Amino acid sequence: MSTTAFPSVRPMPGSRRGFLSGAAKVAAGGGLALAAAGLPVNLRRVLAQVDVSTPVGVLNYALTLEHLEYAFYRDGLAGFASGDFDDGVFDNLSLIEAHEGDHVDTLTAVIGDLGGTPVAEAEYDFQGAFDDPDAFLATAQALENTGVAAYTGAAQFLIAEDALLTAALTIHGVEARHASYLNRLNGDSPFPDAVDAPATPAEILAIAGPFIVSAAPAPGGVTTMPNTGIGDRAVSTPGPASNLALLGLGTAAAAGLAFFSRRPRPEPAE
Amino acid sequence: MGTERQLHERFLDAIGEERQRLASRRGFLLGSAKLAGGGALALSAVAVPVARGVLAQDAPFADDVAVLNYALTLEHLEYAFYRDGLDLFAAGDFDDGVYDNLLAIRDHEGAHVETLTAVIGDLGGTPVQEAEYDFGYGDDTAAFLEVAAALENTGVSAYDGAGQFIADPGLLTAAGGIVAVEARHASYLNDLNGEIPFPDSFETPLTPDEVLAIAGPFIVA
Repeated sequence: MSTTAFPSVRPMPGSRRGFLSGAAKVAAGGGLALAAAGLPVNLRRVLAQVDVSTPVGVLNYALTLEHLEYAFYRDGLAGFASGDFDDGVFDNLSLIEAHEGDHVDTLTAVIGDLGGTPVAEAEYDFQGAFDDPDAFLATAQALENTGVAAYTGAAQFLIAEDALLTAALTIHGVEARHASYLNRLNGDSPFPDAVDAPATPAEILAIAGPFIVSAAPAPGGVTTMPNTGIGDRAVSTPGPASNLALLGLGTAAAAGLAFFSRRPRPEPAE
Repeated sequence: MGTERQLHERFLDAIGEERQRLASRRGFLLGSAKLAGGGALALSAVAVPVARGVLAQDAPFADDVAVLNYALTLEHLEYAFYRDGLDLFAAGDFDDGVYDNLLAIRDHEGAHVETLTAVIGDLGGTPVQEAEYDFGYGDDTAAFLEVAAALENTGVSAYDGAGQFIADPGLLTAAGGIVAVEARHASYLNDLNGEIPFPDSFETPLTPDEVLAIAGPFIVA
C-alpha cells in the first residue's frame, strides 16, 4: 500500500496542541528538526523503556499499550453519552473500556508478581479524538488494530514462558474481537485479511508514540535518553496515519485517514 | 421445527454445556466474568490460572508438526462448514452484507487450510486430510449462524491453548496471525447472533481434549 495515499498531517484543532502541530510540520520537512519541537524526548523516553529481552520487559511493552487504550476509553467515554452513538454502541464501548482496565490491572499485577516494576500510565493527547463520536470511533479502531498487531508480533518473545504466552494470547484474542467490532462500526471489513500482520515494537511505538505527551518515569529511574536507532526510526516517520499504512494495516490505515482528515461519514445504515 | 433443527439444537446445547462445565471446573471463565471491573489482586489470581489450567496436562504434542496438524484439523472443519453451507444458501437468506462477510470468512479458512498444509509439508510432516462432517443445521440459516459462532469461538480457544506448544518463533507468529482472524470472525458472528462480540476480558484457552470434545460431534467419518 502506498503511503502517498494518506495525508501525513491532519488539521490541528487547537493551539493547545501547538507542539504537535510543530512536530507535524517538521515531519513533513524531515525528522532531524523534530528534536527542537520536544516531542522526541517523550517518544524516546517511551522507546527507551521497551525491552523485549525479558518477560517483564515484554509485559511492560504490552502494559504501555493497555494504559494508552484504557485511558482513551476512560477519558473519551466520560465526554460522550449513549445517545451520541447508535443503539448499543456505547454499552459495547464501555465494555471494551472495562476489558482494557482489566488488562492493565492484570499485567500490572503479574509484572509485580515477577518482581518487576510495572510502567505507570502516561499523559496522552488523542489529537481531537474526543471532539466528536466519529473521531472517537476512528481512533478506537486504529488503537485496537494496532494492539492486535503488537500482540501478534510480541508473542514470540514469550515463547519460553508458557504461562505468560498463554495469558498474552488470551488478551490478544480479545483485542482482535474489539478490532473486528470497531472496523465494522467504521464501515470497514471486520476481518480484512486471512492472517493478521504482526508488527515490531518499533513500528508500534511509531504509531502510538505521538499520542503520548508525557511518559511516566522509567521504572529504573532513567533520566537520559540515548539516541537509539529505534527512536530515530520512530521520529523520522511522517505520522501515525502513514505509519499505519506502512504496516499494511489496511483498515487501521483507513481509520487513520478518517481520523486525520476528518472525512465526512455517512449516516449509519439501520 | 423439524428433526434437523432438533439435532442442531442438541449439538449447540452439548457445546454450551461442555464449555460451561470446563469453565466451572477451572473456575476462571465465570470468575473473570464476575470480576470484570474488579481489583488487580483478584484479577491476578484469575489470569494466571487461566494458563495453568491448560498447562496442567503433559505436553500433548510431539512437535510443531503435531500442533499444526491439530490446527489444520480444525481449519478443515471450519472451511468445509462455510464452503458447503454457503453453497446451500444465497445472499438473500441473510441480512444485507452478511453473505459477503461469510464468503470472506470461508476464504480465510480456506487460506488457513492451504497455508497449514503447505507448512506441514515443508516441515516433512503429513498434513491431515479433510474428514466428513455433519453440522446439523439443515436448511436453517439461523442455525447455520449459531454453529458458525460456536466453531469460531472454539477455534480461538484451541489456538490460545496450543500456542504454548509451538517451538518455532516464526510458526508462533504465524499462528498468532491466524488466531487473531478467528477472534475477529468470532466477534462478528457473536454480534450476528445477538450475543456480545467480546463477552470476557480474556479468551478461554482450551486443551486439545477439551476442543475435541466440542468439535468431535461434528466429525462423522
